[in-house]
Amino acid sequence: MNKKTNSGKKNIVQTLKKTWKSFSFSLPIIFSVLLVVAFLQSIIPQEFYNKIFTGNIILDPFIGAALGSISLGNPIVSYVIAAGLLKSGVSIVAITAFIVSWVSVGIVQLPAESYYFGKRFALIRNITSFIGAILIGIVINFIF
Amino acid sequence: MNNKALKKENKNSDQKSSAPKTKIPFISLGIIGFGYLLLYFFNRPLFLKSLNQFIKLSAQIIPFLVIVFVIMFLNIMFIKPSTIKKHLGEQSGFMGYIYAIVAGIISVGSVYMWYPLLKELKETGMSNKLVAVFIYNRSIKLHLLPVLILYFGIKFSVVLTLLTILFSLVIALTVQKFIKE
Repeated sequence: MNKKTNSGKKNIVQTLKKTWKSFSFSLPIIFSVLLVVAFLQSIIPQEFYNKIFTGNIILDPFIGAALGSISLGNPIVSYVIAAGLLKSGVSIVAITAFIVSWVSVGIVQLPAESYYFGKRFALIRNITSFIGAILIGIVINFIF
Repeated sequence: MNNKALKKENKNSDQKSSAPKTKIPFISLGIIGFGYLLLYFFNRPLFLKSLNQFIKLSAQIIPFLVIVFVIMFLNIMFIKPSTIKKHLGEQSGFMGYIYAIVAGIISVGSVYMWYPLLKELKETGMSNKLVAVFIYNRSIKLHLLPVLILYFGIKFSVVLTLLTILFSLVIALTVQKFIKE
């Protein structure tokens, strides 16, 4: 009984260590992004975003999805950036496409995905996911 | 990432939360911190404005990071890749869709880490469409939902989650149509 309890405790401690290792690795990334976003919010005027994101329901999510597709990293980073963009007046349609494509489309991962599942699978999956990110953005725009 | 590294990750597939050993995040933080130091000396008003903004953003996110940690802990503690493997194999049938959706949502760590396992599952009968469903549902991050809700609200988070699940099925059908098993 004691042996079982000790093993359970050991397992919890090991999992805590593993979680902290993974979590602490994300912290410098999160705070780096927060520092950059804080700086950008301080220097970039609202008009800049208005020039890139014009409010066009097709073009805005396309640009958002393209930016998300070439980005890499913890999705929490995409949330922080997207929240900053939303605050700067960028439309919800572009923000949504950006968040969805951040994880679901991976230009950088494409060679690895092709290696494991074949080039055709990787291309079709990424292209449809890219279109999916835009469509989800458009649907969200109609709901909100 | 080269093939050797991918194979090494395959070996450690049950150690799903092991953190990458790269020091790049710390180096990036150091460089950005140095940039702020330069700003302090050369443009103090902009430094103060940025720092103020940074403190506001940090204060907003820190309580939610605690929740993220707890969910990550529970996920690592109770959900192993071997459990997922059991439900996505040859015999999964219609329930395979459900398992692929759930597995995609609860899986943590880099997507690279899951490629070897998915390939193994494919060899034992998992279809391309289920692989696509799994990968697409990785956009939903269960442990990051508190942060998503913090920034965009509950309604947005729920609708986005449901739409992502729905579109993963559309993508599965597209993959099925264009790729022969």
